[in-house]
Amino acid sequence: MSSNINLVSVIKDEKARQKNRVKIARIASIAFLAAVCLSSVIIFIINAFSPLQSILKDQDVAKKNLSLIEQKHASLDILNGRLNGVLDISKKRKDYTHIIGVIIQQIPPGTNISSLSIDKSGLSLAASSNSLSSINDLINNMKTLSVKKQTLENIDMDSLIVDPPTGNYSVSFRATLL
Amino acid sequence: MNRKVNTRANLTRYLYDNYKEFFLPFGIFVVSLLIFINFTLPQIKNLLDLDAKIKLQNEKLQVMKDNLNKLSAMDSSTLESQRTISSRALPSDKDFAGVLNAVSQAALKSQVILGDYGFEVGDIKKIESDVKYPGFKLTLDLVGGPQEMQRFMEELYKTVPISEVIAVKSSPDSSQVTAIFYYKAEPPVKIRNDVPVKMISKEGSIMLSEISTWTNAQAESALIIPPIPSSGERSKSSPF
Repeated sequence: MSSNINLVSVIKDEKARQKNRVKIARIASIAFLAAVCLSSVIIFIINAFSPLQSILKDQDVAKKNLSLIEQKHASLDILNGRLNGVLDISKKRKDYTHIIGVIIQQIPPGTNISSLSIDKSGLSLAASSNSLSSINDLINNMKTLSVKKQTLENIDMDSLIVDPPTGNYSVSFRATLL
Repeated sequence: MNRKVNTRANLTRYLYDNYKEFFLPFGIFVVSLLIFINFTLPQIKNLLDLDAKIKLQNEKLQVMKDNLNKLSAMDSSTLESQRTISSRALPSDKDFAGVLNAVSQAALKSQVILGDYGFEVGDIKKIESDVKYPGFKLTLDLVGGPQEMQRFMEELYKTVPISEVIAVKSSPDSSQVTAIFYYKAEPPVKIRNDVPVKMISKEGSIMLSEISTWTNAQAESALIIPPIPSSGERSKSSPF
């Protein structure tokens, strides 16, 4: 008899625990759903009212205004491109006028330039004079120029020719450009 | 076989009877989880990136405003004339007329008499876009020695379009100058508003004021432009 009474009590306890578990599960699931929905709404509101939207609107206004002066922008781009080109070419181009000027300065009075040629491989110069002293001065000047290494380097004297019937002296040089 | 089916049916029945009250909370939990994964998580990610996005867009806006201010402050006509000056110095294609005028202006200013001349042009329509600064060669004969040649070259370097003397030969009575006249094809203009506009650099400004003092043969010359000889062919008589 006593054992029967105990059995009923165990079943009742079990049912009560089951009910309790169901209750907890329901509350937990609804709480989770509510938390998810609430957080979604809060985050949506934060996103919607962030300053990003106003920044994007301001950008649209700025883009519209910039499109009105697009021609100026294009002209400025072209101008910069052309100027950069002119600068690049100016920097890389050789100033042969300076080299010619330096060579002319080395020619002493009474000496004539018979030929002068300059290209990327170097310079060649031929000069003639009736005076051996002038030719000597020219050789000395070229030697000084070679030592200075400002415009030319590796100056070689190719030939020194004397023409006895005319008494004319000719000298020729080769040099590489610095 | 029947026994197996019965056992499975009994198990399902047992589970249903004992756990049917958990089905609704479980369903709600699954739906909540799906909402969280599909909607809430991306929004959280957005929120976390929001600061970086705001910073980036703000920077772009600032650049746009700066561009707007800088470009608005520029005078259209000044800019256009500067562009014209620079385009004359470095034309966008083979400017034969400009080159011939430049040569004759340089000769006039240096008081040098020009002799024969010869172009090495190649295909006159072809624009070499693969070379950074394409150009064509012009060989000129001058009457005079090294000093005349030097004067001529000085003037040529101060005349548009820009040129580079690559070889010279001179004897007491005659000289020969070989120069390259450069041009550069205009690349398509790509305007990006969110990239800071490049103003003329200090170096560029100095160069601009320098080339604006160079002889603009097209503006100054009232000469009749001689006919252009065919590619690589030397003209028989001086056009100047």
